[in-house]
Amino acid sequence: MTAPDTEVLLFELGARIFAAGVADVLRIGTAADLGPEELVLATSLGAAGGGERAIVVRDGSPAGEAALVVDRVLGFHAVGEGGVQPLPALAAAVLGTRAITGLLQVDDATTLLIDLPTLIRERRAAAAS
Amino acid sequence: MPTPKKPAQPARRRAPRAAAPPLAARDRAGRDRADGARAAEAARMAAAVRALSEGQHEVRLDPASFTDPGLARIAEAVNLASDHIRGEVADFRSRVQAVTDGVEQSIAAMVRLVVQGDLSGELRLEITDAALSPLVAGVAQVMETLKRFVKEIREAALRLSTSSAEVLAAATQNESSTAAQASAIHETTATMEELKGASHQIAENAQMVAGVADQTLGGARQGEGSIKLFMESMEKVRHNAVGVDDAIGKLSRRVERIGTVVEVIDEIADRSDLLALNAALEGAKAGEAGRGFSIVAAEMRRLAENVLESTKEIKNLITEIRESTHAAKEASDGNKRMAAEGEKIGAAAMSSVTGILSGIQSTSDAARIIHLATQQQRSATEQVVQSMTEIEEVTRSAQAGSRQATGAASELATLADRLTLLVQRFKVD
Amino acid sequence: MAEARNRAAPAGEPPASGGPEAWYFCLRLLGGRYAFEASLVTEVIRLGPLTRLPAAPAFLPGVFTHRGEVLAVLDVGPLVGRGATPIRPSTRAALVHCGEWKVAVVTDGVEGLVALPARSIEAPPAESAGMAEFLSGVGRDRQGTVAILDLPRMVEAARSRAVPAGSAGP
Repeated sequence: MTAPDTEVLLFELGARIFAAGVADVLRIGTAADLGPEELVLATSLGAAGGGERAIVVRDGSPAGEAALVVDRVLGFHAVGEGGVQPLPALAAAVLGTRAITGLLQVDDATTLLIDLPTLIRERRAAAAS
Repeated sequence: MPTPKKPAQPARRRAPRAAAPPLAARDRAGRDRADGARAAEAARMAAAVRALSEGQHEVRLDPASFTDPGLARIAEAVNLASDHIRGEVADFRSRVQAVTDGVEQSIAAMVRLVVQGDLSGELRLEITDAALSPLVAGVAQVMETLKRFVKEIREAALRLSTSSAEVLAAATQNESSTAAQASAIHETTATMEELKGASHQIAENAQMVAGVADQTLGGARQGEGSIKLFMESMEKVRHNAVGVDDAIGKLSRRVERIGTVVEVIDEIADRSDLLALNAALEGAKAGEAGRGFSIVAAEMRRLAENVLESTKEIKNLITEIRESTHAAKEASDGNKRMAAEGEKIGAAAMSSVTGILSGIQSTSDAARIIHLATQQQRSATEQVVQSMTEIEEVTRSAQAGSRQATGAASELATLADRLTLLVQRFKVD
Repeated sequence: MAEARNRAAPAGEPPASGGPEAWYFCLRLLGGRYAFEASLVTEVIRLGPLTRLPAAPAFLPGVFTHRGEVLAVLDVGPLVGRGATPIRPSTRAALVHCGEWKVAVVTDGVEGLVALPARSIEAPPAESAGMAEFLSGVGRDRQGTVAILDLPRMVEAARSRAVPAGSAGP
């Protein structure tokens, strides 16, 4: 699932810290910089608690980009080989999102690895329906 | 008529004494023999007359038996007298008998009267003898008088009965009313006693109140002084608060200026952080090739983060200062308000105290008045009790008197009844 | 199956080899005694801190790392229309292996292996709702009734009750 020694971006959303693969991230900005059609405020992960940071990812939308509003961008974390474990089969089968691609340990804390494009896509699809 | 004193004896003749000289005695012998015969006849006549005088009315003399014509004529006279006397005595006897009968009848009538009480009708005496008419009249008079008496007594008894019944009723009523009066008076006396006791209590309480009022007065005067001090300190506080206000105002303005500057720095630092982040992102995406870049970016980020840290600290400080000044301003405002409140309260308290003081004064006065009044009442009450006691005494004796009266009336009534019963035996109608 | 049976955790209780009795693993759940085929159980563990998953159904309180392996935790209560089982540091779970699914089943307590004679097993009650849906029978031992769970069926049912994709919220 992950290449050896990948970096993940750690961010804080709600009261929880998540990780996202850097390959998906275009840049990091502020919510004020972006237009409303690009901002994604609420997803399966919940909604930001007043944060101003936006993680911009590539998107299939007309703008080509979409940004997830988060509370804080904490930094980068190097993940070694085998550092990411897959979700158990049953869990993956019953979750209402496919955006959780695994778990990794960050300072002894089990952190979920998020596929941001998938997360945002799911949200848009749900919003559209 | 000579009354026989001695028992019947042979008639002792008492010859008429004639003054005869004693010398004639010898002559007399002669004459005595003639006289002796005449004397014997005279003696016989004397005896007969004597017998007649002694009640032997059947004595008759035979005139032929007397030789002396004089004596014979006397003997005829004696016979006439004896017949007359006999006739007279017989008359007399029958008259006496009639009277006796009449008297007996009267007595019988009287007895009837007494025993049977029959005063009705006229006295019917069958007495024809005119000599008895005074007796009859007398008896009738007696009867009439008796009738009258009985009537009068009956009426009197009736009146007496009625009166005694009235008296008894009145006495009984009097007795019960005096009893009621006595008990009412007794109750009143008891009530008055209670009242005496209660007013004594009131007097004591009033005295206590007066005492407490005096104490309160002292306390209130002290309170007055304390309040004055309090108000002075409130004035000082207010004065201070104004000074504090000014100082706080200046501080707030300075802090705001710092805040503005810090905001600008913050903005810049944030921008720098973003730049560094994106740089690090590019470095991360480039993988091995971007490692150096990543390091520089990381360094930049650290710097930006330091600045952000500092500004965060300053912002925290500013927040703290703001809070403190706010608190201080609040406190000062509070103090001002408090002082103003305090002054108001103090003024209110002062007026309260003044009110209390005058109130206490009136309470004191009132308590004293009550005390006096209750004392007066007490003596008045005592007087009343005294009077009531006297009345009670009088009533008691009246009660006793009316009891006696009732007794007497009762006895009287009884007597009247008996009298009535007695006179009822006499029929007058 | 044999290895699974040998890996049965409860100490000192050798499984029977054939005969009219069968071994079941009994646990306490929702106020009752439930048992399933003993061979399905690999271990009894104390549940540690769970990692909650966003957009997860009520019967999946989270995942749990045990001996370096991440396992799904199954709470039977919400699966059969009852409330969630309170999970405390002392909560025991039975690690079961149902076909391809590895699951830690939350319990109120673990009794361990019981032998239920085949003839004592009656048909389950007729209701189709709630737990009855997953019972294959009702047995009886000295301590009382034991409801026999068809665990594979239950896990399959769980798997089919996925949360629809794209919902907001954790």
